[in-house]
Amino acid sequence: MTNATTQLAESVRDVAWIGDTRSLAVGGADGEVRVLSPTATSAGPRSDGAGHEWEVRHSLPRDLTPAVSRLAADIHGRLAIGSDCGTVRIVDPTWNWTEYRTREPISSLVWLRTFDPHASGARLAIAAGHDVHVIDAHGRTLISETYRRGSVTCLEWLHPNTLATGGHGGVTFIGLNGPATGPAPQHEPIPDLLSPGVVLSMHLDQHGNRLTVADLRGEVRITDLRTGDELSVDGLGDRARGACWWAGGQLLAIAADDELSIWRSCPDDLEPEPIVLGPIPGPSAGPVATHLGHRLAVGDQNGVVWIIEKARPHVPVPVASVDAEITTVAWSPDDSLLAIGAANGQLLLVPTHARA
Amino acid sequence: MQACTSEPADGRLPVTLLTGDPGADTARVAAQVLGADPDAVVVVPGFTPEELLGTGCQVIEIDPEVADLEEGCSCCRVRFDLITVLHRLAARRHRVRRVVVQLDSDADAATAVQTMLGDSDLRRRCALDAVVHVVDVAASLSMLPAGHHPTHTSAEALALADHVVLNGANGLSAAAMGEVRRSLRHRAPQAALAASPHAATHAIDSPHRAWSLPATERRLLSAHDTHLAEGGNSVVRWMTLGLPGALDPDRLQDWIHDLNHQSGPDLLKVEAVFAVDDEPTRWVALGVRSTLELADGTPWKGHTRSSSIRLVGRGLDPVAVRDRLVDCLVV
Repeated sequence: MTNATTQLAESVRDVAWIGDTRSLAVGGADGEVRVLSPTATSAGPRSDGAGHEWEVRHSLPRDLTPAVSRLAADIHGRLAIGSDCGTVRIVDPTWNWTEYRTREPISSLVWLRTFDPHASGARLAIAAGHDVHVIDAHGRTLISETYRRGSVTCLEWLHPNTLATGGHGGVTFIGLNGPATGPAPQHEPIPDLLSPGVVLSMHLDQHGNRLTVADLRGEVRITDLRTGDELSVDGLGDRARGACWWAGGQLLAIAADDELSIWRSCPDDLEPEPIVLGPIPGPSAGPVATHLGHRLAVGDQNGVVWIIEKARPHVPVPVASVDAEITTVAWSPDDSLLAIGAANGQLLLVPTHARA
Repeated sequence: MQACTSEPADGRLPVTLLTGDPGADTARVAAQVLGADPDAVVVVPGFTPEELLGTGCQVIEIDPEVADLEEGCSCCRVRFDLITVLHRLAARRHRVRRVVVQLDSDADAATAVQTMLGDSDLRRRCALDAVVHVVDVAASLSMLPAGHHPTHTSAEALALADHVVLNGANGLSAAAMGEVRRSLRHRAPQAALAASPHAATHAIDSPHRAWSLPATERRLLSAHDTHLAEGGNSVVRWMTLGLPGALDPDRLQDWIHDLNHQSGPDLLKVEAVFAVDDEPTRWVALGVRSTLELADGTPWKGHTRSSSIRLVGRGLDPVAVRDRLVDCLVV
């Protein structure tokens, strides 16, 4: 078993690395949110294993926040905390916060990744029950729409003016007006991607061309946003909980309930072919790729966290283990640390640079 | 096959489904059953009913949301809202001891059960303890003896129930109550009848899960059915069958396959203990619609081999089911 960096009273629901710093937020099912950062180069019980001692810098006590459902941090150090009671709290780097209320539990929180340092450029997309909201950093509503087909489970920014919303019945694209802080759309408006199932996750490849949608029925569909061409990945036995493009868009990892599989594809080609089926049984967190896309992290139901190198996709390497299901994994901004949350409330920090 | 010889203390979150006839005051029964248990969570459709306000229980409001796993296939439906909310509750176990999910009177109880049994991720975290159905005795008295039921959905929920709570029975004569009980016995012989919510509390608190393979085996072995019996009403029929002898495993697998594919959408519950030729243990099956779990049960240890099945469904043809299963016997 790997030593815990910090211990929450209940299951870790989500973690988020804040800005481009090495500060980490962790939120629990008991409502507690802690922000940790490294203090000195000394080894101790809360060490990350690379000689850094980590300590809790800020903490939101449990009585202030209902069960945390999602955390999201933008590159300017703002942390968004979503709760099971429908509140979203945006905490700025000076630990002041503003609150936005919705009617339903928060199922997804995604900041638009923008390099505009001013708050006016910030956009936070929120999925809550049947509703989708887009707000700015001050909690002002830019968009509030009801998703007609059922609940919304996941969100993905395609570019600053288009938000993909996935949920019951497929994927719907929402266009935003107002100041564009990024490039203009490169394609015609995309028709809805209809599906009889419930979309559980979406992932856009790093080129912004292929949108991969995983659903409750175990189906994974890849859509080329430039042409509208669509392809289904078959052969997954159980519900598909997540998919992730990595290795520069050459590899696609798909996590179903029963196993992880890895597929190879050219960046400009839709059709992937399986290269590794079932190297990790029962994935429960991830897959998440490093920012450079060389490695993939996956946590499983037995409490083991695996890393898969781009050069050796057939050989997953266990890097940590706890005695509870892994609930979340997240790479640090410099890809040197992997934050791991578990159902027993443990948060681990594992250095991974030595394993490259 | 995976063995099911014991009921593991697996730490999963226990869930009770609470259904009811229209106007049966199901929320009040939920409040009475749970008392002021701060570690109990009631999941209700729509807004929190008055009866649950101020009870001390945690109440979660949901919008029922049905999703198709296969387009247009009625037996491949799941309640996505239950998957979502139970997943969240299972993550905060220290403040949740048990969950009662109240279904609308027009909700499809079989879909809710199928979600609990069929979704593998949910099954790892939560276990279906029991289905409890509330009957408003006074309001339904005129319909019950004639074999009618207020709605099709509540008739199906009754057929799935492990416990039936007779609500609003105060003031009824013993003869009237006896008539109601006989009528319910005819339509839901598997269910334990509780004359009050408090009586149901003890049954619900039982450590044995009604919807588990060991419990299924215990129920069928204690029934000692040796012949074909059937009952129900125009909406839902049930049948039990005891069949001495050993079954050919290949032909039995074909029978199960045909049953699922031909009658899957209409099957509300399947319970079976199969005596399979040359197998040292019983085979135990439990399912709803086309979701069926099959595992090894207890060893035979010299007992005379005999199979027992119990089916509940729409449009059941008990004689055809029996004849088809008789064809599976090893001669």
